[in-house]
Amino acid sequence: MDWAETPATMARAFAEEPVLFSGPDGPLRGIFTPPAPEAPCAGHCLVLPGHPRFGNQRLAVIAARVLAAEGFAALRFDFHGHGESGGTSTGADRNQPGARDVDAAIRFLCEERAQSRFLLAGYCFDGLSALAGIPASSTATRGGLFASPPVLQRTSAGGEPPLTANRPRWALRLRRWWRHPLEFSMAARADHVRHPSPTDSPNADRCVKIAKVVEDAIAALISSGAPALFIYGENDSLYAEFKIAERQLLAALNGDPRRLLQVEVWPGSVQSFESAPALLERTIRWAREFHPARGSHQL
Amino acid sequence: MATFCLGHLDDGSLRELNFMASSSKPMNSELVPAAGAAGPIRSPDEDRHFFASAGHALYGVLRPGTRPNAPLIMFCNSFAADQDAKWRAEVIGAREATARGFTTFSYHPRGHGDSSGNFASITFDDLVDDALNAAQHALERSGANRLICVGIRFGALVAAELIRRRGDVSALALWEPIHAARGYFRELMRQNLYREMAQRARPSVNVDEMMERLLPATSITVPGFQLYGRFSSSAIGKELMQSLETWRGPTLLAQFRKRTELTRENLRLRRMLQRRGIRVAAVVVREKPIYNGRDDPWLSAGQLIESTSEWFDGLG
Repeated sequence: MDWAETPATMARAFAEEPVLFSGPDGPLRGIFTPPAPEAPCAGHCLVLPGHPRFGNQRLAVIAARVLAAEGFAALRFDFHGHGESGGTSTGADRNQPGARDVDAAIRFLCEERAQSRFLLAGYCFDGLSALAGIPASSTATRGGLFASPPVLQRTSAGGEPPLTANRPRWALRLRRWWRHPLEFSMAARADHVRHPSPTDSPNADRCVKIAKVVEDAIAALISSGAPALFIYGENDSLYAEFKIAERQLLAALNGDPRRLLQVEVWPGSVQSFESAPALLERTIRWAREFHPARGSHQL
Repeated sequence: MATFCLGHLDDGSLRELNFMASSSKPMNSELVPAAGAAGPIRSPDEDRHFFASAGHALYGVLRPGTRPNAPLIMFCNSFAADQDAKWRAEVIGAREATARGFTTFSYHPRGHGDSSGNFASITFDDLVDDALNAAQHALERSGANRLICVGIRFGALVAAELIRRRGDVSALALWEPIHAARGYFRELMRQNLYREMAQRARPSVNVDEMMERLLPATSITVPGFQLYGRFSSSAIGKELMQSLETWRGPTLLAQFRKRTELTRENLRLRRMLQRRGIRVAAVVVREKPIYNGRDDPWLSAGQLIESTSEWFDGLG
């Protein structure tokens, strides 16, 4: 990403402190960025989980330093099994978000770094994990930004459409040939064309299941009164998932609880690395709203 | 998942290394009790810190070993988004080597990972400068007086340049090395074409045209990151064999591909080094090279790490 440092952010880089704290599945490692002493205190600590913590073009690294230069504290850390943290190496699994790691990070910040108000932010799986970490830390969480988090359980969100899932391959080929007799090559078709997501189905609301962690997190957000910002791209498959959650979870809300949950739908895609600069800029702008000297959210 | 791992001995014959057991088992980076388990948290003694390189704050991790007078093992990681998945393999590999008594050092060059710097403005020479500064810093901090370099993917080119400029590197391990920067950039651009074709679009330009358009002031989108012309023009002439022209030390060549035989480039490199009387150990890790995504086999590169650690041990 094309991002030039300022002397203030460079000073934050040199002030950063590698930290180690215990998590439920092994020791977790991260980097704590202390707020700039010369900046007015923001009174909030940004928690940026990652796999690794500098993934997705170092969004968390840059956001931590920019906001620390403005008075925020920040912690970015690796989930267990990723980066430098302990635990068995695994891929990111949406059915097992790192909520307990987020909880461990917040406990560490409370106990070891005297932080008491937290802003959680993450992209995709990291966003889901940050969201899933809210129930345990809801009293201390003051806001969350979740960029394109998956919200459906994996068994129902990917793979074959439900109607064709159990059919033999020859039957699928025959069906396809019948529908598209002039197209012989399966290989040239993109995955999303060959296997449309079940979220595209008119019966999607009955076919898919919203992850329990998402239901719990939204309930916790509403009860805590912390505002949350969800960002999706209108062309993203994860937005199709979220629309189901909107219908099933958010439609019933009204008044203040609904106003707490803000949804931004950007043109095009958020699930691409080209959107990283815009996401970075939006994350910084969102966090600034919590700064007592600049923002609209009260401490 | 991996099936087995073949090692090429110095004489060119193949041997099957006994990694069947580890291939199906995900790697744990360290053996520590989980929180809540009895006893305090035990963690390897890792010295994680920032150090200065040309005005930048670089992130580094020194893991002190127990072998007296052993060389320091320094890792040169891959480039851009490729670093994200390889970093885990590097961390586990470094911890394994430390467990065997070697002092190891990992770092993030500028514009990468936790270090400072603008990715859009870095050049190949910047990466080499950072590697040189990291080596100097690690030797001073650890008290070691010799180096073993591990070059991972694009980091192999950086490690080779480091070797050319320093006289104290005693061995070199190359993990799925990039042999020529030009070929690497072309491969990245070719993946753009595949992506367009998968989306049923007719590619608007071919790879040669993309290369021509990538001027120092421009950039091009490749899978996972933005490739800046400033970097590509600074690196495009770099070749592994050229940088290793004067290299004389023992070398490990690890290939991370689905095929059982060494690739043409790896064979050429091995022959060139063997002609100079260099001991070359080659390891073929049979994995499907998925360079991005949740099933990236580098996340659990157990065979690669185990064979590399055995090779370190064999160096004495």
